[in-house]
Amino acid sequence: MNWLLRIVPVVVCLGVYWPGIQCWFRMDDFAWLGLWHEIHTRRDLLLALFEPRAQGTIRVISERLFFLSFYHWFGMDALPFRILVFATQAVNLLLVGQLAWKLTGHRWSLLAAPLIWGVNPALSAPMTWSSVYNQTLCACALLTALLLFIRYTETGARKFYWLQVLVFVIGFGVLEINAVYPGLALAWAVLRAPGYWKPVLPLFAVSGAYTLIHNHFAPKQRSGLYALLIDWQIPSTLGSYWVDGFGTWLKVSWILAGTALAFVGWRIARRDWAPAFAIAWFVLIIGPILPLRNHYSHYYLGIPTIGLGLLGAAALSISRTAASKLAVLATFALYGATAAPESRRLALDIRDRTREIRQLVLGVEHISKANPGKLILLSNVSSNLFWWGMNERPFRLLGIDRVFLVPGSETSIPDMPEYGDIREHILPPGQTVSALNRGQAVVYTVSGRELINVTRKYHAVASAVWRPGLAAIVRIGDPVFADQLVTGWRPIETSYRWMEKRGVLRLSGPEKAGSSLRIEGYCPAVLLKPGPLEISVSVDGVRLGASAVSNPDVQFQFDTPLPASLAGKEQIEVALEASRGFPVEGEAYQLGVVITEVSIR
Amino acid sequence: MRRLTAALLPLAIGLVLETGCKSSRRHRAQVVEEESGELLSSFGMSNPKAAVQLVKGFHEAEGLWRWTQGKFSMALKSPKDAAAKGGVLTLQITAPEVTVSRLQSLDLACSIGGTALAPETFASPGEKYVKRDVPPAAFNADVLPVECSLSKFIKAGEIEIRELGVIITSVSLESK
Repeated sequence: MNWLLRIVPVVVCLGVYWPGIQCWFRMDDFAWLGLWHEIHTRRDLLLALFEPRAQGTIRVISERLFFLSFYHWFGMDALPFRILVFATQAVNLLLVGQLAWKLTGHRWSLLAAPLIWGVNPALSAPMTWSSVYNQTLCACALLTALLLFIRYTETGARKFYWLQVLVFVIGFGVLEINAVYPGLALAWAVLRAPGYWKPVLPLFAVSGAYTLIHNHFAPKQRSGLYALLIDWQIPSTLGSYWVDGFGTWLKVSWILAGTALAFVGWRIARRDWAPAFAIAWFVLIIGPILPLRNHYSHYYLGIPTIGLGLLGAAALSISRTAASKLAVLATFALYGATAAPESRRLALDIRDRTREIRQLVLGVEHISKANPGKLILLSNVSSNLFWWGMNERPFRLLGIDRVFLVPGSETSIPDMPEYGDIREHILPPGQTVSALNRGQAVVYTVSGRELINVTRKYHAVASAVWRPGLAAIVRIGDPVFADQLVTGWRPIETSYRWMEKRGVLRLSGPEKAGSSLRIEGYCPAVLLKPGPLEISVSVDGVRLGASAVSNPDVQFQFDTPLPASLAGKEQIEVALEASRGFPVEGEAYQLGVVITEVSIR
Repeated sequence: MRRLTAALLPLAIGLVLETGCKSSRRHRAQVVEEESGELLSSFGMSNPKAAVQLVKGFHEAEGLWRWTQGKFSMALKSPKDAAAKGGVLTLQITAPEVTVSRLQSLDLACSIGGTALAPETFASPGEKYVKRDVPPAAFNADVLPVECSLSKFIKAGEIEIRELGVIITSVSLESK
């Protein structure tokens, strides 16, 4: 019987989210997959594993090792990634059932808790997106550690305590939220196993030490999407997460959230602490997220909603009469009837979106093989396809660098500065026409799941609308712009070039008077030892000014006003000169600074 | 261990079914080489074959129509005989309630092949067929750029993340 109670939630929950196993990669996945290509030396490997990335996170196990090893073994086949996520989630469902059983002592908790949690729409991200494996694996670590601690409190055997410590410490390589584990263990000790709170205290020291170390290497962000805002709005954010934890049907969520709170209050008044532990689980895990008010996201609810499963199990366990059982089951039915279809819908929707991405990426691979050496231009790319599928440059994983959107795409795809700059993906109009005139580019339009070659048509359109010529922007490290570099530039290194002491390039003239020339780059520390470095700017042989750079290895950016007389010129020649360079052994030239971009604004 | 095996069993069965059913159809890119046909003089905004002719300032198709931005441009094939007889440019445009109520009235000014056409004023919400005669001299190439701009539009971020102008359903360039 117990076997059946355990296996039914696994079947149901994985069934609801089954489209998730068919999902391909998206967004951050491509950045993590690309990690493999950054490793050339032992130092690169250490950086790939431990350097803070993506909002300063260092998730060695759930992101770095996961993507490095699976990409090494399976390449861009997403199925093995998804299988691991689903297998971990199957284990999680078992562990949630076990925890609920320990909490309530009621056998049906094995069924109720994982079933309630497993169909929650908050799991739509972890169940469909490999980059969010950290959530699934963190849930596994927290549940395992807590169950080991509970076993320790039941048996007094120290081995369970130390195994718990081991899992807890490993959990820091999974997700930062692991730091709240001592709070969970303490809540259990206080509410369910009095007398065992003292062994928990050293765990807080471990979390404290981790937090200090983590904050040292990954400083907190004070502005933007991931800024930590500790103020009076935190309770309101908690309330929103509490309601949203019950699904996305707002009215139903309010009813369920209110009912759940009333139930908890009633049980606490009766000194029944099982529901209190369920609430503690929710609040402790969502707690560290609450200051991230600018990044309110349902996917943060993935682990906290285990608390709702525990709460449901607690409600079922105290139902003695037929009427109370009916009331609890009716509440479950209301939740399940709204949550499960919504979860299914989300999983299907995300699966379909990622399939479009797969078609695009594999299609571009096919096009690249059929058109070696040519620029690939894409038109009619939807906002979803761009921000989910193209922004992280998945084509580079296939060794394809030269894929761009056609000019004008920036007007049909909404800007999302938090994800990136779409302009970096667009080939300027003049270069588009030049490349098409020279037969160096092919154009494909996205039509449903097909990529249709429209080079001939697009060439006619582009020729009617734009003139061939230079771009008003040069991304120095992009080979597409190599034609605009004249002298003094070293070969491309990843995505940039060194400039010699003096570098010259060409741009189209400004469209209108009042424009300025923007220079962006980095200065090595060695050049700044004697003091600030001056970079002078000349256009068409006339010195326009100079700017001082004083911070080593930090991006500099300065604007130089352009004379009105340059407006409308087809071409201008820009010369940049550093006030000093440093010699390169065996070479006649001196290196100056790294320039990443020169543009007219 | 038996519990773990039990939990993973449904997953394994599902995977066998999943991979078994699909082993015969590997993921293949659907790439269509060189579409047949020419550029169009007239098309609906949802016509995927005409998407390449929408140069800039158009949002994604929503059913049969698209929102524009404050400025939008497209390229149209010059119709036969138009260079001799002149032509008519027709834009099927809806000034939505949300735009007119916020902006009061707005003017739409277009040019074709560099020739400016008389502007159209939208003072009340609703659909209009904006028709303008195009002189023969404007038909100076096989493909003509059509550039339009609105005197007022809703900036990105005001009511949603997109910049919103008017709704356009179709465009047509015919010879007289």
